[in-house]
Amino acid sequence: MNLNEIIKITNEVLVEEFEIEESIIKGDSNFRETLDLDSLDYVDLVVFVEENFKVKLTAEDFQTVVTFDDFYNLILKKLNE
Amino acid sequence: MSKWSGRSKGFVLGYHIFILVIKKLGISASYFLLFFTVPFYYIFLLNVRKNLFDTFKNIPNFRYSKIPITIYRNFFNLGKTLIDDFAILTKHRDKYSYSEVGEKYLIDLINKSQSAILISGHIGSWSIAGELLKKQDGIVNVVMFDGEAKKIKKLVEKMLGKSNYKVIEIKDDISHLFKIKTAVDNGELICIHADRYLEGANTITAKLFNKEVQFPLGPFAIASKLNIPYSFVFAIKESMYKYQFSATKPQLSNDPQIIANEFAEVLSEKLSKYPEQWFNYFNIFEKK
Repeated sequence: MNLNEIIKITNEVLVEEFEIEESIIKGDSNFRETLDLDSLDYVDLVVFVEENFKVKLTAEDFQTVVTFDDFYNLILKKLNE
Repeated sequence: MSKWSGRSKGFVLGYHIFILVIKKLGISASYFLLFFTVPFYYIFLLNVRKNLFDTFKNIPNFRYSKIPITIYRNFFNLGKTLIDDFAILTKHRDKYSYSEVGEKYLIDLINKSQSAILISGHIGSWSIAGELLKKQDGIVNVVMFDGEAKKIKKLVEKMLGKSNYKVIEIKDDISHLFKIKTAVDNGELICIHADRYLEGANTITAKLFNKEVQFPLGPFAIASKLNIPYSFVFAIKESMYKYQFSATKPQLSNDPQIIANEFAEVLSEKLSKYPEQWFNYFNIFEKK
């Protein structure tokens, strides 16, 4: 799976799950603030990533995520591990 | 419900003394010590008394005149329950027995290595429930708020040499959510209290005795988001060495509100039946 496919799948789910307009999702936007994530939303994210990409995310993984690009790249990195 | 600082009452030194007395002199002697310690707590823990009073006055058909003696007995029962929590880990274990309602549901989950969220409240003894599960070889993770609980667990392990559960400590960095997820993936049981919350936590409203009460959203949201069975589990002290263990039939729901409503119903029943074992010392009816 390439980065564009990851972005497409991820954005589709985020739009539906967090009820946001796709237009506000930009690669360099702040991931947490844009989605207005609370702690329990991370459970949704972990489940979504696991179901769609078959990879597991840890708490440490999220420490490196600031922007949407970071999130996409994290999934790509996990897929390539 | 009262805001909670995340720290439990009780001193590590006090636990030290009780564990020594249990080991050297036995359970009855430990209970006897309560005649000296309970009045101290009853006199000085004014806020706890007030919160219990405010809680009990909301129980339908509960006479006001009964409240002071119920509170005193409640303090006494807390002491006895704490002693039992330690005693069951010692050579005195065989003295304890229990009746059960629904234990088969949990045995079935353990046999299938099916993870589940076991939701409870501060009523009766959570540790006893965990110890009863231990004999089924299930791995139990207890989700706890504070470092204090960890200290006490370490002390118990140091003095008694064993422990029947793993602790998942709730932290600001949300690492506990990932630990819960890992435990779920491993087919382990997750035990969590759902009758009080830390200030600033997400909450969900459900009716306790027809009054709207705030509960922590986390336990109900986790069960629904991770799509795993949930059961409401309690262990109530029936007599000196006997507990009643109860577990409801595991259910699945993707709606945390449904789970919270069901929990509130079960909790209402327990609170009205066993106010003397209600150890949530924060006013559950206080508006957020």
